[in-house]
Amino acid sequence: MANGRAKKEEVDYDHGWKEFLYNKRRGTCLGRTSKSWFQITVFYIIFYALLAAFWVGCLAIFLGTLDDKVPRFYGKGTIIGINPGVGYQPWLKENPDSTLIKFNLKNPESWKPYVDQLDGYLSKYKNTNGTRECVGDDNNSNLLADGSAARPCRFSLADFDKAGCSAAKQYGFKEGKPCVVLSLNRLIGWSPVDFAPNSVPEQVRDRYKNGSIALHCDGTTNVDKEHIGKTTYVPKEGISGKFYPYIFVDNYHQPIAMVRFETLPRNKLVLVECRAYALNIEHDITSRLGLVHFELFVQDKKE
Amino acid sequence: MGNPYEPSARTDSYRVATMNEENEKINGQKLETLPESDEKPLIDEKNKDKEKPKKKEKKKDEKAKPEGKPDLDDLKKEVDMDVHTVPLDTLLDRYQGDSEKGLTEVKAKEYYTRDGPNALTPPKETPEWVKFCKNLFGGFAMLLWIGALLCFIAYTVDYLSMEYPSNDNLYLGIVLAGVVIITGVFQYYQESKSSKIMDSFKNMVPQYAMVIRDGVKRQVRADELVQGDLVEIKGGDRIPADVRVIHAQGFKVDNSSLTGESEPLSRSAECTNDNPLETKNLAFFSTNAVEGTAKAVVVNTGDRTVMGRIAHLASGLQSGKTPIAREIEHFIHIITGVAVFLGVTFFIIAFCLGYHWLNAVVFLIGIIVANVPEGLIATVTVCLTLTAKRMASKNCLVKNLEAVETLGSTSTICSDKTGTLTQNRMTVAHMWFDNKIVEMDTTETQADVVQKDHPASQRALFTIAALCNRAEFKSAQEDVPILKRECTGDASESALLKCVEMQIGEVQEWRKRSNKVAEIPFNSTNKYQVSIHENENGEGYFIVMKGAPERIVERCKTILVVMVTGDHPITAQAIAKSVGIISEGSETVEDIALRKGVPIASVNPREARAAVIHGTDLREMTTEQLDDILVSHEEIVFARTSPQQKLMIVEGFQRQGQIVAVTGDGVNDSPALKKADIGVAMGIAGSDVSKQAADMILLDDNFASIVVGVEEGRLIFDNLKKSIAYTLTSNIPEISPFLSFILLDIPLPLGTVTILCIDLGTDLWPAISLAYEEAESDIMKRRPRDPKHDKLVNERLISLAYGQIGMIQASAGFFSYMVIMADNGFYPWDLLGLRAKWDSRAINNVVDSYGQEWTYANRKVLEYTCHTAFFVSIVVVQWADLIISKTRRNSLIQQGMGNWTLNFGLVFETALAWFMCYCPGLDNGLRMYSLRWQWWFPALPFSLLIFIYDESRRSLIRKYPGGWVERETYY
Repeated sequence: MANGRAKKEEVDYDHGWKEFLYNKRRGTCLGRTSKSWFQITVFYIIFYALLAAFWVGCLAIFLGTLDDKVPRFYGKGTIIGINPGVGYQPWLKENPDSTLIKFNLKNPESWKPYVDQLDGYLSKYKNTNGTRECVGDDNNSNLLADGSAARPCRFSLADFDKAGCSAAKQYGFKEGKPCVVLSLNRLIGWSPVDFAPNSVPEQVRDRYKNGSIALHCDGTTNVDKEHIGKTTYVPKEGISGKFYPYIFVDNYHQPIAMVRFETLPRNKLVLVECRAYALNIEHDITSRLGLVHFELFVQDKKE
Repeated sequence: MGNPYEPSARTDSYRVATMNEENEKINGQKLETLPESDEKPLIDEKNKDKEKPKKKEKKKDEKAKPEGKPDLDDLKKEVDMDVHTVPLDTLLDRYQGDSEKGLTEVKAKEYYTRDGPNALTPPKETPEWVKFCKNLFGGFAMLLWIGALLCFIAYTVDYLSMEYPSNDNLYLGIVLAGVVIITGVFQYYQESKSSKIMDSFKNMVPQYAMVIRDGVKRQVRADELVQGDLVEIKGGDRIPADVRVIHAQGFKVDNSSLTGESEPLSRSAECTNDNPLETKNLAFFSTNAVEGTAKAVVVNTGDRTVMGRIAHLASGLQSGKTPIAREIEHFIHIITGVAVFLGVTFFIIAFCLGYHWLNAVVFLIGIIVANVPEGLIATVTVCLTLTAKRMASKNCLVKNLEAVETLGSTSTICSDKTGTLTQNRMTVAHMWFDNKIVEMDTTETQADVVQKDHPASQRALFTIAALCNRAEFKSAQEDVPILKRECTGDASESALLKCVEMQIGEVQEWRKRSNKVAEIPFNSTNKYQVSIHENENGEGYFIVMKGAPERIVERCKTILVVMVTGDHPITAQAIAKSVGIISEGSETVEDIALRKGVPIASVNPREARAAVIHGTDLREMTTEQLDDILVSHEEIVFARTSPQQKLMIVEGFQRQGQIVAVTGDGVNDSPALKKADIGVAMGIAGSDVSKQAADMILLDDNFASIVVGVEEGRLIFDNLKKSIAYTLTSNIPEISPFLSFILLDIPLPLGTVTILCIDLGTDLWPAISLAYEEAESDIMKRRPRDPKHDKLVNERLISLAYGQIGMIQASAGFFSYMVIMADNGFYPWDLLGLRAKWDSRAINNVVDSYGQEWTYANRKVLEYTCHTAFFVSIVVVQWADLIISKTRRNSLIQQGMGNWTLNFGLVFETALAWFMCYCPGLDNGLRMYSLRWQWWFPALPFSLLIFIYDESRRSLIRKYPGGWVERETYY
């Protein structure tokens, strides 16, 4: 007819939320019958299964294009770059955001976690499988060419034991002269470049040796610089350069060095900054390149 | 006969009526006119009726709204005055005036200070700062404020407790607050811009009045008039105030703006009736003097006039929320619900997983930001503005942005004008000759078939259609299909022209051959058109003629059109029948009684399709009875209705859940206009009061414009759906990184700031561009939407946007993330559980899958690069999403890529993403880092997948109408 609503087809709707939850008349729960629920569930299961398969397929194809020795992008001009950062140990997993090493000389329990952590960290050097002894000028520079037969240089902890940073001496924690492990971030293809003889930075001039990465720790602020006291570096010249360059191989032994804080003040917090020195290491405080920060707090009081 | 070449004298409103004439009936030999007698007998009855109604009404209104505001009730009371009954001298004494010299200047000044200017007080406006605050704190704004506040709290705590406080939370807080403020300011600006258009109406042309003061006659502005002023009025003037006539010469007024009756009424000095509205010696403010002259005393000014009281009744009414506002509110509730639910759930989960409470707060912020489509409200506002502009160019001025959509959802139109609904585009659907009806092809894409063998009578019909026709094709359209060509001339003539051009062709030539020698153009009095042409062989002349059987409403079949008029029932019924509001064959109760020869009381009212209801009856009815009538009859005409009754009718339909449009131009219509979901006033004939009360104004008074409104309204509703579907989809790839960050313990794949870059950057133009999308099918053939169940955002839209397309997008994002991580050395399985180490500033050496060690700073650069890549991949999959959102049912092949705003939107979002990615300096601000070129592509297969998936889905919808796919995914 010319005008007017045609009679609406009667569509049955739920009235109110109670009927929406369960509608006896239409046999619906949350607005759907059991059959409808079944259909939509099956649809989504199939849909997501196919989508997941597509996704996994894409990922598998992509991963297939990767080299298992080197990532697609590394070295100069990539995000990781060519300027290594510095790491330290012991760092406690239980408190990941903290860089504080704090213990009480009167309480062996207080340094136990640090000793345990260092034990764990250094235990990898006990595994010498697939490594070789590098004496004299022997170094890792041919590793890349060797390919699958590559056997990286073995790192020995003997120097640390001699210097009083052994596990047996609980890394000096017991005496209040803690040893802290310093390492340079592994970057594929990176090797240290020597300073020219007359341009060695003044902080490490006395102990710098070509081919090594010298280390220097000092207080972060002037107050800390006064408090930090005497530091001993083990070995003296720093991290040995013969373990470079790093390649991705089983049981690569990362070279490390330790710094022993001989005369830390008691019951005082000391903020420490340790820097690594080689010609191709730049230092940047905001992005922590070439240096690391941590804090030491040796207590000596009854609890 | 006059000069046949005189320009057509028909009025606009009449033209509309003729536009809708049924082309099948057009026949040169046949001339139909409305029986004029219909309108004559009413005049006497009109006056009879008026007396009692008002008094009874007062009681009813008081009963109906006992708790209403006292002043509103007061306004609904009968106009109570004695100025027309007291002797003239008494009246003049009262005002200390004079029937010859008028008031003294001094007195006039005194009264002016007492009563104020003679103008209607504009309705109280919401203070600007309240409007501004509403924009600043409404909708999603509150959620974002909470997010910003949490950011500031997190930053403060960070700042106080951490050695190296990160400024990220501070920046994010500022950005969020900025987003809310900018969106708020933008919306406020849009609102005030559309209300400014209205302000221009207020100060249109100042009215002047001829006044006699101190015996001197002079012209003053009408608003300077005071009680007791002596004024002179002549035909053509607007009555400047409520006046009592002292002398009159052939003075007639048109009270239509007050009562709705357009019959000129004579006015003289005698008091003929106690009822001030009926008596002949009163003329009312803002009505028009039609002819003659009069001298009169001002008895009431400004808000105290009869008109002023009705105007105040209208402004006191609360008009409800517009349908689109309700829809958007509904949608905001859903989204806010989801955001709060997810946020709180994950806040608790994060707590249970042992995260620091501050981290949990950061998660909460992230989830809120990801969940809220920040740009959506702005998008909706812009879409509505664009439509409003488009409508304004077609002479529909929309005062309230949200009203743009209302006409589209309208299910009932109450109109006092008979020519309400027609369509500007017409095509010839049937031809009737030799007593048979031939159907014509009306599809727009039909081939231009030229048939040659027509019967003689059809040939004659074509001759008339071609020659007795003033329409012409506009030039340079030879390549356009005939039915799509633009014409000059009115819709029906254009339709005839196109029909002939298609069936015969060469109309232009034909007209040249048969030179027109004389013509009587169509006008509202003769209702026919005649032209005389030379015979083709040059000997003699022939005459062609066409006339208009009036047929209206046909075009908007799906909308119930109800006639609400001040006219007499018999006239009303006759008009309703002639325009199709009451269709042929429909009977009223009275008709049935007459046919069966039984008393009216014994007829079951439900048997009758049609009903003509008298205002007096309406007054006696209870709400339930009225509801019953509205439900049980499909064709309803209300006659003799007062402003208050019009209001009742509108409220009655609204109780039925209908969305009601009211058209009107008089002050008497304004309460109903205000109460209606959308009030439509006339721009030329309409009174200022009705324009104030209306939501939309037809600038050219052409009722056909309503159809434009309905069409645009329905289109924008569809397109908003698409726009929202498009915008919501990207929520899933925005939320999922946060969820996996918490649940899988992986480095964060997408940052909060990057999410804002999508919502407020790349998604914005494309979302808006969907407003320009063309309709997929003939939206005028659709039934008005059911406001209760046909929602803007329904579970099918959410299921498709979130459950399906959104999930594909999220997988694209994660794939990109995995690709970049692996390219730099972190395999997917090594990322699981890495989060704590990754985000710790204390660790300067996180080991990747190749044994390399990463400093905190380098890790963060890698993470932000991943954010950028995730962002780029969302842009890439949003290309596909935008293209599939163009249609809900059709294939892209059917729809085409003709929407250039959208096409540029694709380019724009890509260019913007490119800019954000590579512009130097943005790495600090937005945490966006440059990508290697190959990192733009991981999402591409997923983009293709989205396109293919959705094309298949829509092809299933088309192939199996009503099937499972349609029921579950057609939004």
